Amino acid sequence: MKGLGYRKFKNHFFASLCTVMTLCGLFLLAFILIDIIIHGIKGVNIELFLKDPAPPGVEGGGLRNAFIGHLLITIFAVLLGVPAGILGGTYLAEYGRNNPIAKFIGVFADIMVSVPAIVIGTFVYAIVVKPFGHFSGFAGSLALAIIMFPIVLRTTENMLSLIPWSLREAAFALGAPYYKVILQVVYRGARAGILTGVLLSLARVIGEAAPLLFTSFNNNFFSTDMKKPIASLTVTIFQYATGPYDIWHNQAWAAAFAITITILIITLTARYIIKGTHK
Amino acid sequence: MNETIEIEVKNLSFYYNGNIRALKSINFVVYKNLVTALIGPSGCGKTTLLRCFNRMHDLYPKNRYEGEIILDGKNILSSDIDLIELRSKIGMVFQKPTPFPMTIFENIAYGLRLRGIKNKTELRDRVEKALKAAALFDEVKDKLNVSATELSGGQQQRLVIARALAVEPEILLFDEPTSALDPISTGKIEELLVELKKTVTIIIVTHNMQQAARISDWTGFMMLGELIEYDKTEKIFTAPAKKLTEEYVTGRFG
Amino acid sequence: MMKTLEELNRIKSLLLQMAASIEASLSDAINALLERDDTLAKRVIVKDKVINSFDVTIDEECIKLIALKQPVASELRFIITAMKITSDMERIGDLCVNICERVLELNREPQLKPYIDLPKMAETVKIMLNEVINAFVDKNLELACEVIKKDDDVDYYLNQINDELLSFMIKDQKTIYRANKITHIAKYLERIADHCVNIAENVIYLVKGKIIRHIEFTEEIC
Repeated sequence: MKGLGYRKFKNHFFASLCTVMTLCGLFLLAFILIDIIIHGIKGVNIELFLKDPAPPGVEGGGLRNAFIGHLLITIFAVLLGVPAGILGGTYLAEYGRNNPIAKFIGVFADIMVSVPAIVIGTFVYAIVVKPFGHFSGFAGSLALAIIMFPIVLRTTENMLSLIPWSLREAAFALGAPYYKVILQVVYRGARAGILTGVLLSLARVIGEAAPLLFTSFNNNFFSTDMKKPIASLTVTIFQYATGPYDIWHNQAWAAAFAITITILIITLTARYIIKGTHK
Repeated sequence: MNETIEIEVKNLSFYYNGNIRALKSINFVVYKNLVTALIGPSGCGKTTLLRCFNRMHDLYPKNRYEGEIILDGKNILSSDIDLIELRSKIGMVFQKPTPFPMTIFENIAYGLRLRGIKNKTELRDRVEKALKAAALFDEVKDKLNVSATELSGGQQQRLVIARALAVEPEILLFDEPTSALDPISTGKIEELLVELKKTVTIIIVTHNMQQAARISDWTGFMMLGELIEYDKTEKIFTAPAKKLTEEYVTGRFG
Repeated sequence: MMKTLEELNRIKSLLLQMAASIEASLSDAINALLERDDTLAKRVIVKDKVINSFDVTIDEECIKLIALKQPVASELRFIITAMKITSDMERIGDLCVNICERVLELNREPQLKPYIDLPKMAETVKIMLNEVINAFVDKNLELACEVIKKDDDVDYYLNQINDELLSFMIKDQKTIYRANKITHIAKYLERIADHCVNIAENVIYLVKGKIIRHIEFTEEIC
């Protein structure tokens, strides 16, 4: 009798502890989100997207250069990192099945995912920025691509491995060569998963500032020249948030809000796609 | 029964991973437009033998064939055989229904498109013909653009059969085609096979002896990589010549 | 299960051909006796080979069907019944041959006496055979029961004939040879009737699914 009551108490205690901790975590998350929304909404207006920055301390102006610059950097990062990641993941899942080298590459990719973003930034600084002698948007894209690559690689490999071998055999039995089996059958079956992997890696790098600091640096003026330093939202936030002007602070909040909303939309889209494939 | 020979298997041996011998000097003959069944306990090599006919083993580098399989006067195990052409003549249906993640129409048309057929009318006609031959057309004719994965298990298996029939093969290989299906679907597929043999030669591997008894004309009993006995089905199930065969079909092992 | 209709119909058709053959044999044997026809008797003896081959063919087909198609329920009962019926029919064929052999022997002597009961007995047996085959074809329970009842008439005739011939043999020793042959013929006819009863019992099994080999059960059903 005493034993039963004690066990019940332990049960309840543990359940309550879990709930409380969850609520704490959620509370903090909610606090951050609400804070960003409250402060960010104030600064969002149409000028933010259409105007370039005003001279320091002067009211008005916008962040058009940062939005466009960030977009360009991201697009090129995707062009560099995603195809490489997909093809690499395909190699690991298809051709390298029993190859020990493939297993090593997989482990290496896992390690790469954990490398701090700033270290990657420094790396790209050393191999691209220094030899060329100046910062560039391309260097920034490269840094982001290096971060995206192992995520896309691993996700692609996992998604392709989920496709049962019997499906490939059926395609072979119809006379299809291996590359067609991959392109026409395997990719088609795994496309939701691969797309999700791409979106998640995108969500990851959109919010990065550290790798851009020494690569694309920043540019207070509007530019679409990727061979030169270019503005990005995240670096701009860093610059403005630590600056002395209120107008800067407001714009930094607005930029943070924009990025957060974008990442939220991307992540929700990714989850929606994956849900749609569950039957 | 006028029996013409479709395939001759001569002294066929097969080695996995270089030197693990899975088939030992198999000799027999497959007759045209008849159903030939391969039975035997698990691991006897019947699926291995089946996969030699369309050279599925080639997918793995360390496999090796010895001996000959003669079809249309040529040894299909020789290295100068075009595998794509071979797999046009010899199709395969697997145990688990494997519809591609595409529409029903696209599934059936896949083999045709592989061979360069692009004409829409021709594709439509051949898809319809294949679906009719697989006794599936009436059930899906209004939903050809639906994803194939939405069909039931039995329908999916008939879809796979239609897909294999679309390229008009001479021979169809079946690897335990009904073991993943319910009894009603199994019955439908067995009826289909008996009907199909009028146009295609069928070789079927099954672990269900009664299925082999019901639908096949010739049966081969295998054990440990050897072909123990090969004879007309009625002989195998009424008066088998070898003691091992008798013990297997009466259920004493396996 | 696989549709076995085609094979079952084939077996039925073979059975009917065999039945037609023995009906003809019985009819011919009786005519050979009553009209003292040697040619007819010899023909019956030769035709028996055909009847025997039917027996073998039908048995082989039935065994094949059981091994390959795993029949159950009424299909299984049909096949088992078919095998048993061919056995009885084959024996009827043999008995017709026996009758004809005695006829050939009798025809070398003058006829003992005008046949009165023997034709009536033979006619009854003929009707029994015809009815039991129809009972099988139509799965007619009542007809099968009729056949079983008629066996009593056949037994009555047998006793009559035996008694009459016995008195002949006692009165005149010279008649013993012929009387003996006729006694045998009557016995053969009675055995044919018994086989018809067996077939009737098998028809009842086919229809009812119950094995009835004792009179008590038959009375329950008939």
